[in-house]
Amino acid sequence: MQYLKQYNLSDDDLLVIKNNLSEDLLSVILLQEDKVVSILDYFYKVGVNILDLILLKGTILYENIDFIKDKIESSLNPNFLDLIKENPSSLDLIGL
Amino acid sequence: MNLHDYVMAKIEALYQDYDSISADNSVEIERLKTMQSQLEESPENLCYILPADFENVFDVSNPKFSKKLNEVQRVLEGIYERKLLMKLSKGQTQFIESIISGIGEKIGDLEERNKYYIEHPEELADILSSLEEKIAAYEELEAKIGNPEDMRVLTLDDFSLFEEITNDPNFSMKDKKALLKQIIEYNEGVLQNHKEVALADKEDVNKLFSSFSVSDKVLGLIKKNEGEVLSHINLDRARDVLLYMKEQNLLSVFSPDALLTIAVYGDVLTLQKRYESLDSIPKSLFSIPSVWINNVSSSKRGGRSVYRGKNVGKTNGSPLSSAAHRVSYEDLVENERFLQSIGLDVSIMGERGLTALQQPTNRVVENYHVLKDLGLFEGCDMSKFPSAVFAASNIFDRANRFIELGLLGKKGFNYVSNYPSAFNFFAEEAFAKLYDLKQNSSEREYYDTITSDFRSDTLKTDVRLARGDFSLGEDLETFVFERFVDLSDKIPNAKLYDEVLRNSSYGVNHDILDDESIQYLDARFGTDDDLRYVIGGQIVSRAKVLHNYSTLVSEGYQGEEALLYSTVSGMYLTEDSFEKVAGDIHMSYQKGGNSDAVSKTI
Repeated sequence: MQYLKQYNLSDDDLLVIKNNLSEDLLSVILLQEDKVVSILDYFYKVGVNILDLILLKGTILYENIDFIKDKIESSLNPNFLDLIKENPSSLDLIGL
Repeated sequence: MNLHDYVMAKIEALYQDYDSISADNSVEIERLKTMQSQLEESPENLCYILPADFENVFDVSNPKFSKKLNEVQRVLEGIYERKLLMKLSKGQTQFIESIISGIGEKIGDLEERNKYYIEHPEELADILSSLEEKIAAYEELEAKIGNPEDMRVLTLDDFSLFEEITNDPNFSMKDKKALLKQIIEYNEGVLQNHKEVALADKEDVNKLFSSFSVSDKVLGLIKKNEGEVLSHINLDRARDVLLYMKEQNLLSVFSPDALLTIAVYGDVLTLQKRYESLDSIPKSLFSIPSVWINNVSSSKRGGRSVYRGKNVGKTNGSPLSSAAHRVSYEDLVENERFLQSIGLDVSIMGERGLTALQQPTNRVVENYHVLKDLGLFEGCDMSKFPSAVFAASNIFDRANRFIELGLLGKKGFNYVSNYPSAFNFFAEEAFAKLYDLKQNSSEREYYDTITSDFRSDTLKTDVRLARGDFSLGEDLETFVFERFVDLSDKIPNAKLYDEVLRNSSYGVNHDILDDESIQYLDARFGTDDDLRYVIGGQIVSRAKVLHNYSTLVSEGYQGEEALLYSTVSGMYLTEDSFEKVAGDIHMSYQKGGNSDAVSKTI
């Protein structure tokens, strides 16, 4: 999981992730690095706190990046990315 | 053979039984009939039949059979293809006749079995269900033995599973003694904190994968997961898998992690069968290794991961195993059908809503019923509902707490209805903190403290994470000990009731609504939100009380104590709050026309 440190996560943050995520979701992080990076890069670039995203909406890592982008870009709210930055749980509002 | 090998062989045999019983066999019957009529038409046709074609009919691994078949085929080749002056001997002719009649018998058996199970579907369902449970049990045992970090000893239940293996008539007394010795040595090793797991040779593993020119990503994953790979891989099985993938040009089609997982945990027959059964294969399937590996439907796993076990903490020791057993193909397809039928935006082909699709079906369906009963779907555009919520575990328990914490309800602040991913993640520490806040604040102070400064319909980010101003300031155990009552101190039978409820299915036996205590609760403590009671000044989830009490009563546990437990279970209550709730329950029980005696009617 060391690659997650590129998103400003510390060793303590990695431990919090390990202690709070299901074993299956952790296996996605451990085994599907390319896919996870494609998703986290997308959110990191817009300023979303990655630790909060993983903890509050970790299930997003199972999804396909195109599906995620499609859902966000279809949102009628032009400031939706700001909402996600403030609180990643806002992804619930668009069915993610 | 070591313990792991015995268990793997048993699992393989059980899956074979499962496949042969569950298949409707029509295709196989047709194949055999075609073969039979070709041989009856002319014995020459035997030349074109491969030994593998007889696999379900004769024991092709028997050297006598394969030698005789080879001999007869050579003679037939000589007669019909090379036009030599020779003929079949009496023994050879009788061999061909025995093949034709053997095929006929097999056709008869399969047709009779098909007919029987069509007429007795419940019996077929029982047999398959029992096999699934057995497979799940052996897979749990395999996970325990095969995981170098799992330091649980083998129990009596595990002994029973090994005993069943030794019931095979081919198991000699000598083999039984050797197996028993291995079991004892295994437990001794574990107790001495020194567990030996047979490991494949690292060089052999690298050579094998390199020989198939797999990508650097695969080799990288092998290195990162070396412990798990070396303790689980069977090189012969892995070679067969990789060879098949190469022949079908799939080596670069599967994602690197899926390729490795299938090579370590899969087998070529299952892989081939799945590949040949699918007309068009969605790209997403090549990233879900579990659909290519033998997996029974989730219903037999009780909705929990086979690879966690009661006393095994999170180890990250087996990520490949998690991926290997994530979801069966059958569950994946059924999930898509079910979730699409209720309007959710999911699709295997379109790679949409993959979170929910990859869950055990029984969890998806149960979650649907819980969420529906909570009213979360009323007036909702289901295509915009976050399907990932269907992946949440313990959803009913969480729902009860959300109701009691004023975060979910048909009236008032309804955070969870707008942000249902709270079901997926809400720290236990956060629950404890909120129960504490709620019992020590006015309603206004409580909501002012927890709601976002920017948007009144949501919580502050730190609330769910129990962070910052919402951190406990100490470990959970200490926080709880210092503030809340221990329910097992207050309710003597609490642990017994916990056990009764632990595996209960979601739902309420509606006869409980006729119970006089429940009728009194409804009348005296019900609110205009049918999800809530207010008892002893505390919001209590009505669904929780009804589910718990109806389950306990149906198991023969009636009485005031059971009713009190049904009310307070799952709550963090201060002494004062508990006493008030208990007082109201006592009154309800008395007013319900009951005596003080606790009774178990069984």
